[in-house]
Amino acid sequence: LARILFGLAVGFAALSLQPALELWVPFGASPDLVLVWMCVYAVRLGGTQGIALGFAAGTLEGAVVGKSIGAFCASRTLAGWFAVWAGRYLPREGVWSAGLISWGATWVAEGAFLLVSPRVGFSRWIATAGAISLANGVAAMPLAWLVDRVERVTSRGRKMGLGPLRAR
Amino acid sequence: LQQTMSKGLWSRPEFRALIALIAASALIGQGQRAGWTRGTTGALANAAAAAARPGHIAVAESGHLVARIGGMLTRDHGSASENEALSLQVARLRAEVAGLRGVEEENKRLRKMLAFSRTTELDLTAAEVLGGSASPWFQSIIIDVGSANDLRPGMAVATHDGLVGQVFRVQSRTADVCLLTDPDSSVSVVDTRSGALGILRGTNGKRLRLSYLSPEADVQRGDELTTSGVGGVFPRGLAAGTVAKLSYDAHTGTALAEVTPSADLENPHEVFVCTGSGGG
Repeated sequence: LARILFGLAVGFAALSLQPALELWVPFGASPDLVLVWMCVYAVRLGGTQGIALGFAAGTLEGAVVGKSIGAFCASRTLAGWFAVWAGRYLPREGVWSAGLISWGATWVAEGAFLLVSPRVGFSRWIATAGAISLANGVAAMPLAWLVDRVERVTSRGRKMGLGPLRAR
Repeated sequence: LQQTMSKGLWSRPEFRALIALIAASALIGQGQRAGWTRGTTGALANAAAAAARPGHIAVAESGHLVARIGGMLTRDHGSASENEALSLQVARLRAEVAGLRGVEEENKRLRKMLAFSRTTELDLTAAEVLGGSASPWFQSIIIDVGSANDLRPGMAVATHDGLVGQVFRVQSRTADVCLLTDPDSSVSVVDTRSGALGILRGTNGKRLRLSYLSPEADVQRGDELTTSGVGGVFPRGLAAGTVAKLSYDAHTGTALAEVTPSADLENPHEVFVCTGSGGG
């Protein structure tokens, strides 16, 4: 329960921070925090749950933006599938692998989004998607580290019979 | 082999889930475009946005606070090493001056806004910008007024410098504004010098594109464009931009122009929503 609550809290924080980041970070290089959150958790959930998380993240992101909900759903579902697939070949809890998966999943998501809902020219898309994928890769590393720490603390607490919230 | 491969792929639950969810996404997208699920998706989108709004407001408020504290701390830190007592005093004074400069800047902006609201005949509601769009492919902002302040989708949003965009979604205490730079945005404008009419569209970049000008249209670099009022969506006479570059579209046989927006669309702080024409 603690893990689920933590995951939901991180997702809500990502959703809350996103519009402010778009204003604060220069050159449009702000990370897509909801996508990063989805990638980190999709790798951990794996299988159909990871893909479903991608769909849910897309629905949420599209709903908050208020436009092109279908394009968001499809692109994030594909990104979730990519994260699940890549997670099989890379260390599940590695910080670097989280960065790499997030970087790759961003290209998949933005590529699918461009195909479904083209809003900019190809050269501009390359520049923007490149910046976002790098930012997402960097942002995924501390988040993956944090999630790993929380999972370790909660699982250690469970082994000691203390329950997840009294894990120390 | 093909049959075995397709059977193998289809037997994987992940593949089936992927196909099902992509199909669901396509249905949602088509439904939204065709208006089949207008009530449902609109309600879901509004519910999701409303759930996320307290977070957006909290982040925006904390951002303002952090920026103020950060500004004061960095100024304090820089001069603390020389003469302790004096430099601390200097640092404090500098922080105060920096704070005052910030206030002065804000004051200037607000004075201009006030002057604009006094001179215009439009009914205006002042609003503060809480954040930008959640996606780089969409040019929009979130403002801190909503249906509680009688806002409705379609209302024009401006600053003292000119037109900013149009409200496209309203919650009780916040609203989303589609900026002029968004590709979905189109505004009918008029050249104040020659009277030529055209449509101003967003390009997802810093500049706007003026299209549907006739080849004989008298438009020159540096010309000011204002809203024409055609269509009744935007009030007439709001500054929209300045012509920066002229070109010719061979496909449509019309003249094109690149336009620099009048208002600061990259970092807007405070805006006005035109809630009425002022004449009743």
